[in-house]
Amino acid sequence: MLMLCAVFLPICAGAALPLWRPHDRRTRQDYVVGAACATAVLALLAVFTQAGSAPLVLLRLNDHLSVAFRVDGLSRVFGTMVSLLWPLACLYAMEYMSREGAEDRFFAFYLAAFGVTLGIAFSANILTMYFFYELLTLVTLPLVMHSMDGKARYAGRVYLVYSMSGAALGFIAMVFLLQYGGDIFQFGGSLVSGAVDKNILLTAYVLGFFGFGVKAAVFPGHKWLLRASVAPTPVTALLHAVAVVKSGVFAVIRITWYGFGPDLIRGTWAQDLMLAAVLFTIVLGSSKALQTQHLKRRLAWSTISNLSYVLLGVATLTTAGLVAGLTHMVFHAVLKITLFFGVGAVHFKMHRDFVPDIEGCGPLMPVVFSTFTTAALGLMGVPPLAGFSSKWMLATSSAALDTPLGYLGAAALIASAILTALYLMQIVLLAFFPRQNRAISVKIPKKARRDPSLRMTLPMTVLAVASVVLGLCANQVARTISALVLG
Amino acid sequence: MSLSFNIPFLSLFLALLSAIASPLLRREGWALNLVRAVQLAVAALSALLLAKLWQMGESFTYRMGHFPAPWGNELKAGPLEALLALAFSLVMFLSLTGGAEDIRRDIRTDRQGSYCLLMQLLYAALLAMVYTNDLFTAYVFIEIAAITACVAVVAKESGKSVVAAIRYLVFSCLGSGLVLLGAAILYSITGHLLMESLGQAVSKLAEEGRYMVPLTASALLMTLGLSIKSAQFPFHAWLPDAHASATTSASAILSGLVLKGYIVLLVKLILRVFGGSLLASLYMNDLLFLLGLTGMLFASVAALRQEDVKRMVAYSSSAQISYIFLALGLGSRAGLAAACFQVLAHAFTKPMIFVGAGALIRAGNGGHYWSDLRGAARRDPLAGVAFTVGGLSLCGLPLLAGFSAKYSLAVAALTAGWETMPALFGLAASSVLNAMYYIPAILAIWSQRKEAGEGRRLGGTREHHLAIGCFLVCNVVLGVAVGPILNVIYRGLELM
Amino acid sequence: MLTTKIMYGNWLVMPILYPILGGLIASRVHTLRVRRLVVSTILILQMLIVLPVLFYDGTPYVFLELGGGIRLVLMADHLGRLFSVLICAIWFAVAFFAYEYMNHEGHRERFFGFYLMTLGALMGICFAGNLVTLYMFYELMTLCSVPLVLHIGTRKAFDAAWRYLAFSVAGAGLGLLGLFILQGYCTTDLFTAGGVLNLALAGEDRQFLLAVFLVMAVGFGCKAGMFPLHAWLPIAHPVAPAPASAVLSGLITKMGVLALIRVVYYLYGWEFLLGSWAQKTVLILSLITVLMGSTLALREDTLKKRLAYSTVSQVSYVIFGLMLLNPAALEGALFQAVFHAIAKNALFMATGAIIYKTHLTQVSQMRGVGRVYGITMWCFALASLSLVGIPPTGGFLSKWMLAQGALDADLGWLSYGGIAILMISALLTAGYLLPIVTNAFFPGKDFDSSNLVKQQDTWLMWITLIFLVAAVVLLGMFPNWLSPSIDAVVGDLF
Repeated sequence: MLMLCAVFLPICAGAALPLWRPHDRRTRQDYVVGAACATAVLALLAVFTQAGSAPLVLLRLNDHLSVAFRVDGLSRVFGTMVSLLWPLACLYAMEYMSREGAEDRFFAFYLAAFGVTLGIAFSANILTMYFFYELLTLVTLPLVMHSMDGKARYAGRVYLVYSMSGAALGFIAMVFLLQYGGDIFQFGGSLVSGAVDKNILLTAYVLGFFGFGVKAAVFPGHKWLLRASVAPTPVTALLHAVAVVKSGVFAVIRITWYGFGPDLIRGTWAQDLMLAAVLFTIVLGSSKALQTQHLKRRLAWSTISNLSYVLLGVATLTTAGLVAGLTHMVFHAVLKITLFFGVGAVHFKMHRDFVPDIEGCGPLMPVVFSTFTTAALGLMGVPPLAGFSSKWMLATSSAALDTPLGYLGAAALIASAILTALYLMQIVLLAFFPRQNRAISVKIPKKARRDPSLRMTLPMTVLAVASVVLGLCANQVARTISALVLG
Repeated sequence: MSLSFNIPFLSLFLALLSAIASPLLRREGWALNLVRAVQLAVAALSALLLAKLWQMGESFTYRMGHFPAPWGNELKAGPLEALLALAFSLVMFLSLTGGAEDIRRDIRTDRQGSYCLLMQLLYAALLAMVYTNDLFTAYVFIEIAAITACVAVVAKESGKSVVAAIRYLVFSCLGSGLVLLGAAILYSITGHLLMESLGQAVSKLAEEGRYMVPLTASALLMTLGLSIKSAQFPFHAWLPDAHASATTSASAILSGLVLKGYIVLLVKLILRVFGGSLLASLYMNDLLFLLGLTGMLFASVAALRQEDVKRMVAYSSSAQISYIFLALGLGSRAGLAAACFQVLAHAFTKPMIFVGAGALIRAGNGGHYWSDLRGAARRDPLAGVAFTVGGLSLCGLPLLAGFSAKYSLAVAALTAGWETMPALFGLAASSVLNAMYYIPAILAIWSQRKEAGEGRRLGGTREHHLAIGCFLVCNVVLGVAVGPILNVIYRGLELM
Repeated sequence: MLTTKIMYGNWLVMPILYPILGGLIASRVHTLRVRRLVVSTILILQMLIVLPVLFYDGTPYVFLELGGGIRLVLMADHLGRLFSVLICAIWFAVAFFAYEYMNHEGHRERFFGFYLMTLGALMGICFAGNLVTLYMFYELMTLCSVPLVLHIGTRKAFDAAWRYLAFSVAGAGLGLLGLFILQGYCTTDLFTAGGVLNLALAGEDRQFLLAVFLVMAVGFGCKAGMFPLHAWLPIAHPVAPAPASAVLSGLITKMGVLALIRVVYYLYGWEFLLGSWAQKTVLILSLITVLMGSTLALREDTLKKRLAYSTVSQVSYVIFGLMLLNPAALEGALFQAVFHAIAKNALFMATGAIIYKTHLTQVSQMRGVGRVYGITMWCFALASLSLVGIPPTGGFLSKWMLAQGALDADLGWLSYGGIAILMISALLTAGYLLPIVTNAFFPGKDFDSSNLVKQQDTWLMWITLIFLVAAVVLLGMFPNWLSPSIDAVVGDLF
């Protein structure tokens, strides 16, 4: 029951918002943040108390189809991550959106997206997950298109087309799972063996991988994430760095480990194809990030690359790889959200969007840039901060495959790490070390010469500290995830 | 013989009677009320019949006038026929209710009675096609349906509608002609018109291997004829024009029901007359499959380029009909069931979209084009919701009718042979294409209009709201109660 | 016993952490005098902190466990202690030089902050007990020294810093890649004299492991300016302020060498690599670098750039020596490392002093400078002599031992070729350094000395300069002050 409350409360709260139309910003803030926190509390309670209980069937459509919810290990990891990040993001968004307008509509969908993401986390079978997956696309679409100008509309259209195409491919995989699999996700696969020719099953799986992988921005389904960077920063930060893309990864993990099962796919052409696609995306994302001069797009490419790190762990089809991937998923979420918050703060306060314009902004916005630097160091993989151990574990599990693709995977990770260092440090260096002959010409109005207000700096600081702590305790984090998922 | 066995005949009789009576009612609105009341009554009767047949677990034949075969006419009713009659009646009722406002506006007052006559005749024809058990009756009512539908298109007077109606008429006659030719061939080689006897005769001929060429020709002709009439690609060219210029209820019924009637006939032909195995050996299955597959893709692509909302929805209908042909082409029981389910799903979804679109056109500035419709949903939210839910259902959002139809189609495809992968890919591609033209449309109608006069909420009539509300409920019920409905369909197919 | 053990372990963190914190504090102090005081105090205290460490025995202390089996380990063995003392002492000296030099530059608090933080990172490299720890501090060192390179803030400085960063990260990345593959073949991750390879496993994949070694050597060699990843050095070192160039050339390059020593002797073990094609390849690469550096230095007119090319050349002597894989060569390499560090620092400081006072940067402009700035040029001269290898300065001893080691290695044409190249390079070194001295002191009859005006001498600058040069000369004359430490290192390994 708790699960259902956690899922539906924010949807209802969000739906109520445009009907109620609070007059005053303060009231809206309290309502939104309150709703987010309440949901987070419910979700966390569900995660901690309802693990391992029987699935709750809400609707039964026929023998194979039902809408059901359950909390298992993977749900707990994903659900906790999402629940802890959403209230912080709401707080940040309150401040940011005060200059963008149409806040009622925005927060209605923002809260609803929270509920829908929790729905994905707590789904017990593939139909439920698919339903919430489609809903997620629909609910986040207005957020992407928020500013309703030409670029936003185009971005929305691209997002839609890609997402729907992905869902259509995922539909095929889903049909196979529904027909030949058990009713509920089972760790290790729920397919009843022997029913269908293996190659057909593998084809269905590959379609599902690329289909659900569109949200996880695997090549060739990655273009939408770049276009979506025209959305307001709270959207790109939370949804496109954390919720939507991680839901994509989550869905891929579900169909791989809990649906078709790793034993089916291991060692086949399907695994090779997955590994190749993932490898390519890792390197593509990092190289393009270095070439892009637009800050948010650079971070978007970085997200594309990092998501494929997680998928590399999944594609190894070993438990070590899965744990490594999940660890990186958690770390990346925290780090990327901090980076996006920083970039958003710069846009908000100083209206600058491009890397060369960042010059010298470091001392003017010390909190923003120090959190940015901390997160950047983490993402680069400087030990002992967060990114290093997760990347190391990923590379280890990839090399452990003992095949050419496995080794290439480890090499790709390291190459990507080098590129990451370059494209992130460039921003940090430019911010803190302005060139002498430009320092004079950079005009910064006096009233903007400070960090944004507490509502924005507090989440950033909390997240930066969290990333450091997570890094130092990386071992514990990995062990906890392993215990939760593997049982 | 229980009293409920009279229901098929009764339904037909009531429909015909009310059809004749309606132009006599001069009072405004009474004609419409009469026909709708009859439709509701028939719906209730069909529901009763369905319950009875389900309980009994069999189907029955009803000889008209107690003349024995092979001279008399027969009606045959099983659970599936009852379900279809129920569905058609409901949809008819809701479409007329939802389009009532448009009837009042688009059609001259003195012609409204005649319009109801046409609609009711069409309704009777549909019922007949559902219940009939012989080719001759089928042909008669095919013609009646064609004529009434054509005239219904013209009812909204404009130059374009006349051209569209004539085009429709030409295609329709072509289709009917082909069907007649096929029926004639069959009659000439077997000497029967009743479907059961025909079926036995045909299978005997097939066993003996005689008259294979005429059989093939007959099957081909009848299939093609019915394809033309149900706007299957590549014979769909008449549909967009007809839709664009017709009034809302006419478009709704045309897309939602008329096209389906012919398909029901086709199903009957497959099951009772030719038999699945014969058709498979004649490669008719493959023909149907390929027609369906290409139609799904091409019609959707054509829909993408449309500027006029009604034309876009028309192409979309053609694409949805292709799903049915695809399912029929799979040749299995599961395929037939999926086809029937899609008939139901589309019958409830497309009229809902048309009713919604009609209201949105009114809420906009009366034009049919997207630019006119921008922001219309803000003035008539319920119509916007109808259009949205309809669109989402066709895109395949779970818990809605469209998803369940796609799902059953996909499951049927799984057990097919070589057709599995093409079918699945075709489904996937067509879902994407659907999304590509429906969702921008949905976005457009809900987006802000930057002009004065925005926010002025139009009060829709109560009957309009009622119609949309019922459509929504039916759609969700179809989406959720997949299990029971499919059970009924399967049982019905067995007993057919 | 346990508590003392823990205490000893934790104390190892101090010389690393303390300068980093100190650097952060120093960067906040804006008053000149106070800051100078703070920095000096930190550096003196640093030497005091390092003192107890010199009595440690080389046991490794694990101080953090990260996920996936990686852990951060510190240890203070002979090699680490040797380098740490060298670094602390030179860092201290150069700091005093920097007080004066940086008067002409802005943003001084930033400079000193990163200067101190780099020291901490270097300490970390010296005391690293396994390759992951070393990698971590290696990256930290890069990050802390990049701001030193781009300090003056011109476009050229930025490009140079960017190039430095890119090359360093790439090099470290190669090293990490190697480490990653290697860990599957090692019995333990800790640096142990003689190597930690699981010989049974390693024997099967010997060629593969040798290739991996080559990759790591190229990666770590990047920091030491070894061909083929040397292109950043001649651009980055000159553009930094003179104190920064000094430590970059003198000490930070040695960290690349240190990493390489660790990989060769403490991970692979010299027996595994002895006689292999990988060893020969690295030897050839280092010889190419030696020759290339010297040749390019000859043609370069900008003094600091000439010195940078010289660094490229001289540090590869060290690499050559350590790759010969015998005691004499290693001893020579270590001596060369120490002497080069001191001498190069001295050279850069002298150059810096001249630039500071005359704003002259080109060699051709240096005519007659010696007349006015005698002490500075004398120091320059003595340091040059050490670099060339003329007795009794330190450079001679190291080059002699390198030659000895080359002969001992018995590698045929490679040994003889190596010695020949060392000789040629020595001649070239003389060719590019000594003329500067002679031109400075003996500009020729037609020299117009009115351009050079004697400026106020700053005692801070030349005191440190004299200190370093004295060290070079004295250590060269009395090598047995240095021998015990170096022999201890060599003794560990052979």
